[in-house]
Amino acid sequence: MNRPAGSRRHTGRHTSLVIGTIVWLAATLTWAVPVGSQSIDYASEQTIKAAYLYKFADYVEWPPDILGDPDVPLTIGVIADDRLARELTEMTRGRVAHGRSILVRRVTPREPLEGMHVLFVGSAGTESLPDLTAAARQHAVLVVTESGNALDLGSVINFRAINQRIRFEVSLDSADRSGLKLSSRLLAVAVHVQPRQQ
Amino acid sequence: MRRLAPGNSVRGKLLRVVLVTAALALLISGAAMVFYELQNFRDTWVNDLSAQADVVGLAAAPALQFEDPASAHDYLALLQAKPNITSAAIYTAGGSLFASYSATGDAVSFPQLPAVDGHHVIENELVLFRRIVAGGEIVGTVGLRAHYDLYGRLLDYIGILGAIMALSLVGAALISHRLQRTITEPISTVTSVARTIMETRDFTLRAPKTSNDEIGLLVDAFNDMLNELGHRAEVLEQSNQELERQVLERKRAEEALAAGQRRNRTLIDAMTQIVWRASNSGLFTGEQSGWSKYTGQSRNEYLGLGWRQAFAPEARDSLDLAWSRASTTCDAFELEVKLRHAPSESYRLIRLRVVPVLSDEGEVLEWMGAINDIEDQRRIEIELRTLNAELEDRVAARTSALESANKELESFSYSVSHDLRSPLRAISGFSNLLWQDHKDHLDEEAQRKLGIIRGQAERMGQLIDDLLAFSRLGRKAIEPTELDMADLVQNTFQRLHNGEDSSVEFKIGKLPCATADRRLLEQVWSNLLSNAIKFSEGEVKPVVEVGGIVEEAENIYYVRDNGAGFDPRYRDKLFGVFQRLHDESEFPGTGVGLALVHRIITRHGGRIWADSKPGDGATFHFSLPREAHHG
Repeated sequence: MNRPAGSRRHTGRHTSLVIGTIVWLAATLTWAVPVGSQSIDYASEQTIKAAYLYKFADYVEWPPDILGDPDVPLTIGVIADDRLARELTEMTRGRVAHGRSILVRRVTPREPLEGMHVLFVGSAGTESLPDLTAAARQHAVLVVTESGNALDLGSVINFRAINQRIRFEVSLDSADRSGLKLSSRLLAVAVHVQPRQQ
Repeated sequence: MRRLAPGNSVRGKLLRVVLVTAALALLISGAAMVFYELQNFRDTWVNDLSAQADVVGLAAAPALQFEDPASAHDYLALLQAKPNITSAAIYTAGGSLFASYSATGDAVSFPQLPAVDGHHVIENELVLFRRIVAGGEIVGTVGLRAHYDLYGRLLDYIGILGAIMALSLVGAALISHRLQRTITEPISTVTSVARTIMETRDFTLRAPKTSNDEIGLLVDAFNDMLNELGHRAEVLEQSNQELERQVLERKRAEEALAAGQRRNRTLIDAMTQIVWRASNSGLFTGEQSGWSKYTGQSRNEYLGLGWRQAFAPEARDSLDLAWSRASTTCDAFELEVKLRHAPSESYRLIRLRVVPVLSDEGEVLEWMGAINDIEDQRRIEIELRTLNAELEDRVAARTSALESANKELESFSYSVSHDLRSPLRAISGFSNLLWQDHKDHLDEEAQRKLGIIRGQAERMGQLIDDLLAFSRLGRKAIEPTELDMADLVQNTFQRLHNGEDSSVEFKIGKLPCATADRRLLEQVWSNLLSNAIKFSEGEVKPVVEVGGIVEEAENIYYVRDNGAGFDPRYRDKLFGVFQRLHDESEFPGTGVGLALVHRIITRHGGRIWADSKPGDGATFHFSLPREAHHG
């Protein structure tokens, strides 16, 4: 490793720096292990997704007529994944997102999307996605999916498992069409951002 | 002469005040500023870092939420723009290290677990931890380490402060140097004037007034003071001169006094008298050396009234009496008493004289006494008196013896003269008879010798007559009558020439009358005139002059001739019996005439004297008292 130019003055600190580095490396290693095991575990994968799901709300700006009144709870609809819905319900109890309480609803693809703010479509419901996204765009619903080409089907945020970790990709085009504005900070952590179509 | 030390001048003091004030003000404000700046620096730096941490936290919140350490690391890498931040770290909400950053690329020395929210300073670094809050939840912690060079900063500030102070002080010194002139120059002028005045004592100098401020007032006050001072000095000078004069007078008086005292002391020492002093009540108080020496009394003996014991016991009563009388009258007194005399161990007669020293009110302050030993004097007086008395007795006895002897001698010489006359008359008579009867029988030689016998016998008779007259004069009483001297002289002169004309020119002046015995005065004039004629007849043109002078108590008469005169050396012998100054053959005479005259004049209480030079004539004077004398 490179020793800083003035480090000779800090010879006393030198050993502690080395020790610190070793500790950091050890920590990194120990941290990597549970992620690896997590990716294998489907249940924990869905839990992470559930956790991400309500956190997204903080980085999304809805049109004021949709989410103007602060008393209106943030409503998250879950399609085709009861287990995730259950987890999410547990998880968001007592929590706030976007400055308000969170309401989790299990919905069917036929249900109207009115009053919905976030809609998670599980991999089982992918075939109904084009309809759903079309409807979602009408009501400024943030559509989150977990299938490979979901973005092309009109999804705004799509979970991807990369390097055994849960990441997500974003479609700015879909967001625009839905009347949603995504925070750049969200985009920064997105694994891939699909730009707007000119 | 007062000279000011450079640092002591008003100029120096003002400069010091300005500099010290400026330095103090600068130091205090600088220190306050440094303190404030350091505080501010710290606060700003903390705030800055906090904000930085917040920004990082805000940016990194999604990375934490969505578990993207790479993204978080990217955010941290943005801190490169802040070179002061040496390292940074992000922890998850669970407390595990999520991402880290180091400006130098070195390993980061952040702890495994984040500290609580806040900041602290480790060595030269400020370490700050901020919780990352998102969606109302703590999603993690940001840790930042930044250079925190407070001491460097402090040194910088102190350096800047020092430079500012140095510049400010130089500036203040320069400005105050200029500004001070307006203050110090008038003061310097006043000072130099004051100094000149101190040196020259010239109170006419004045300080020029250049401003109307307090210094102007000071100059006015100074000048007023000089006026006053000049006036005072003048008055002082006058009073000094007056004082000097008085001192001189006083000195002279003191000198005179000292001289007087010296004289007194010397006088007392020189005096044979013993001088003593006593208090107003008659007590001896001080040292009485003279008294002690005379009486032999010691100091203890004579102090108080002890001195009385030195007087003879019988004298004390009279002494006490005299003293008490003197005390009431405050007068001096004298007393002759006996006082003990130590050297001779006897009482000696002294004269005590006591004088009071009086105050202005006439009260006795003290007594001064003087003692004269008169024992010897008194004894000598008595001896002298006795001796005198003896002498008088002896003189009287001698005189009477002499008188009787004189009388015997006179009667003897009278009887001798008288008795001599008979044989002489016989010789004369018989030689005359021999001449008449036997002249023709005698040869020439015999006739010549007979002639000599007759002449000598006649002369002998004359001598005896004179002697008889002389001795008769001693026995006969004088019968004074009023005499017309001129008439007497004229008659006497006529008688001497028997009316014949004389070749002698006779001049008679004014002759005062006299009271004397006529017969004796005829004798005087006869003798003196015949003498004058006799001694001047040989001259070519003989002149005899008689005159008189009236004096206060006597009349003086004189007879002057231009004859042979006499040698004044023999003047004393002129009036002796049988004294002759000339040879018998030259001027015949018995040598009794002038003695007779002398005796007559003496018996009349007068005097007789003669002046002459040989060949130049002689003048005989005699005086007679104007009052008749009964000799």
